[in-house]
Amino acid sequence: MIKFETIKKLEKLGLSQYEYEEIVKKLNRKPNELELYLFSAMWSEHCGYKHSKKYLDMLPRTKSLFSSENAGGIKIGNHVIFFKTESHNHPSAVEPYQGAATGIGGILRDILAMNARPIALLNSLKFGPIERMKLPDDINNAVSIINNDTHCDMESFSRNKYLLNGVAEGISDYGNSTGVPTIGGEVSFNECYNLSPLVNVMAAGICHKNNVKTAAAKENLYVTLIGSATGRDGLFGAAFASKELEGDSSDRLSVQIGDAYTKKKLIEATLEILQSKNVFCSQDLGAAGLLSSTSEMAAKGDVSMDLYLDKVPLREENMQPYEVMLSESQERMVFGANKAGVDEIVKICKKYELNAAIIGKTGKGNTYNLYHNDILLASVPVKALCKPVLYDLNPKKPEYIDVLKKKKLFLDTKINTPQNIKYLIFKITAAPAFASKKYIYSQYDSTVCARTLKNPHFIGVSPLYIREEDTTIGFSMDSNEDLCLLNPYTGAFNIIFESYRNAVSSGFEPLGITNCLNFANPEKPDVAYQFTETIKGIKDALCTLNLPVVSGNVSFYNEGVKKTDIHTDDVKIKINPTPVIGMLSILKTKNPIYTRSLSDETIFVIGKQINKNSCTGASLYQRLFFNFLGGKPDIIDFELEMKLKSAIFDLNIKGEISGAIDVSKGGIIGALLIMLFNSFNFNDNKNSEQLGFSCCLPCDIDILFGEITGRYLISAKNADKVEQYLIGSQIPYEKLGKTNNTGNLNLGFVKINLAELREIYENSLERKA
Amino acid sequence: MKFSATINIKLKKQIKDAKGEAVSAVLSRIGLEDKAKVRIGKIFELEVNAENEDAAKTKLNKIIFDVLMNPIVETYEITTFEVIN
Repeated sequence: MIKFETIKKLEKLGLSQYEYEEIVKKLNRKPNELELYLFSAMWSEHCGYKHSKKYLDMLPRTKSLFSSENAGGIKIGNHVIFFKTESHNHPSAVEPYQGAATGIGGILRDILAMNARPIALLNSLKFGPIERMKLPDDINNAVSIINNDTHCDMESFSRNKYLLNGVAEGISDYGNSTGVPTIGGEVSFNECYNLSPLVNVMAAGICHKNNVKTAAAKENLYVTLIGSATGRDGLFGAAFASKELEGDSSDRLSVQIGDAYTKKKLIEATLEILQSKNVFCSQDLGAAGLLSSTSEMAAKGDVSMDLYLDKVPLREENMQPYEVMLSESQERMVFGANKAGVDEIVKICKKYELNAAIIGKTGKGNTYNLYHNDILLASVPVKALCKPVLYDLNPKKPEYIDVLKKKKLFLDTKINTPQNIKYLIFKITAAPAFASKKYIYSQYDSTVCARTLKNPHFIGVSPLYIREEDTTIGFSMDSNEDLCLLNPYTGAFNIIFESYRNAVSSGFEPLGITNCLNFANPEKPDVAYQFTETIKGIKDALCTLNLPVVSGNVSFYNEGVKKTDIHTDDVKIKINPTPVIGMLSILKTKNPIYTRSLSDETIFVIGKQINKNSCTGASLYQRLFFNFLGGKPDIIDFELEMKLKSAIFDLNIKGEISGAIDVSKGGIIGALLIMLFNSFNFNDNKNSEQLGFSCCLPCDIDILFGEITGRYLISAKNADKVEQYLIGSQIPYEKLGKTNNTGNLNLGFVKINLAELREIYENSLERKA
Repeated sequence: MKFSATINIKLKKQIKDAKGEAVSAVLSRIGLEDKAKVRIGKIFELEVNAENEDAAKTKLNKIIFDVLMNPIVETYEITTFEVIN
């Protein structure tokens, strides 16, 4: 029988009665209070992945290295490229600046713990909308279905802007100060993020294959903690992230505060320390701080560990043992070293003005003991602590999936007037979801480290030169929350291919992915369905492409309570299922292919052809213009994708194409605009200010803006040669039109000044944010 | 009526004060004071127009919370508050 007070306490700690009973079984006795705190943190979703572990294990991992460590990697020559994503959604919702900054800090430490020098940062940011789309009456009248169910109001627009600016500032201040370039990423806006914005960050690092350090400890090592002193910040962060956000003010104490300059010193000190042969293992202190880092060290190395809490340098007075163990104070690392190693660590830390303290040692056995002034406070089997009970989810297909699938956006044909289409082209160009993200990435230092080959201005993968191997690698981050809501399986599957096309259009061959899976509460059957289907989608896409997952992160409980008036119940708003895919690729052509077109060139659409019956479910224009989500998403044609890839690589190697882009957001018009806008940025492009484009396209919204899979635009000087090649390789293609020096975009039925449009594209987000 | 106020804003006690730690490290290095506890904050002197004292205080509070400080990491103290005219 569990006592009533215990039940109350368990509830507060987020442990179930079943879990409590399991703890009692593993200990053969009741845990004391401190031990209960330890289990509560280690068995939380954030540390223990108790609802997701069983499913994550289904993902393919062949060819990936160290995938069970802090960060996984892929071997390139004699080096390992480590990369991983991490979410900092909950802290960023509460305090965007510090939340985003410490997110960067956390992911950098994961890379650092492997003894890899961080070389790149990327981010995927998602917020609620910052404006309402207003369409003229003639368009409104022509649309028979308009979903007016919107949760937005002016107050949420200004809050979303505050979050956007705070997060961007946090990333730039922290990332720029640590001297790691932020080379790319994505930003999107959707109502489902109104109460739960997403901040997913990715970091990559490089390490020689012989120098990689893991977390596994061995016997008779001194546990040495370095970096900032420990305070009460971020207490219960792990438990906090595993809980739906409710209210606002009381959550504030759980936010960690970052210090980028200390982090820079920590990076350099750690890399110097890990050079030593006397230092055997390393861990970063992230979620559940000292507790999770040291217990995992012991569990992975199959050793026991004694920790002396009185030896931990503290910043605050009267800290309780559980506070010392669970604090998420930033800028700390822990190492396992022999006596000589400890001396080296102390010397190096002195140089970098960082604290260093021996706080424990490892030995034979399997217990994890905590002492304070020689009094034993807690003693638990370390394996029990690090192996939480794992749950099966109870997925049930939510009804909405079939409802949305059957919905059809019915557009009256009289909507397709040149006037309307011209209006919509301006509208999509100015929409924050489509417009240039220059306002955000211009705040980031993208070139420090001297490896960046093109700034984030250019679409496609973000290439980095790896001088250690004389090769070029690329990174990208992709997601599509509308598609994943419509069909989680196809959504996840298609995102991997979207990332794939992104790499291909820049001349890169994908090598592997990391994922950040953002969902609402998985204990609810509909969310469980979204999650399990997403995992299947990722798995099937990766198996099709023979690519591994090297690392990942799961963020559950992304839902918020919308307070309504006192007469109605509060509404819970869940985020759409949002898997974010970070991809590593390697350059296969001589030079990266740019997204551009020169004058007097022919632009081809290669791949699938769009028609009135194409599956264009979840296309951007449908949500943007008509607030509509429904229909079927397009299915990937794998063989065609492979043919398109070899065609683009071949044509590039032959020097036949000057630019390429995959057709995604905004359909043909979207890809065409981005390609033309980007062309203005090249100095070698003569008369670039006069660049224009002329083609004959059907005056039809669905055809112009509809999104299907497996299409690219390529731009070529010698159209005949390219045409011959495409016919020879049996690749479906269409000549879209020719670039010229008129400065206009001429679609046959409408003419638009490109310079004017480009100005909107470049500056719209800044004006609106 | 016009009021003048002085407001002290500093980091909450539990927040790491990097600037304070830097000053403390310098004091130790030059031998003036070893391991001194140093906290650094900022002082605002400002004037507000309002109908009466209550309205001025309400306005001041809004200025403090919305503009001058980050209530998540900082605390404030109004050290002087007086009527100018």
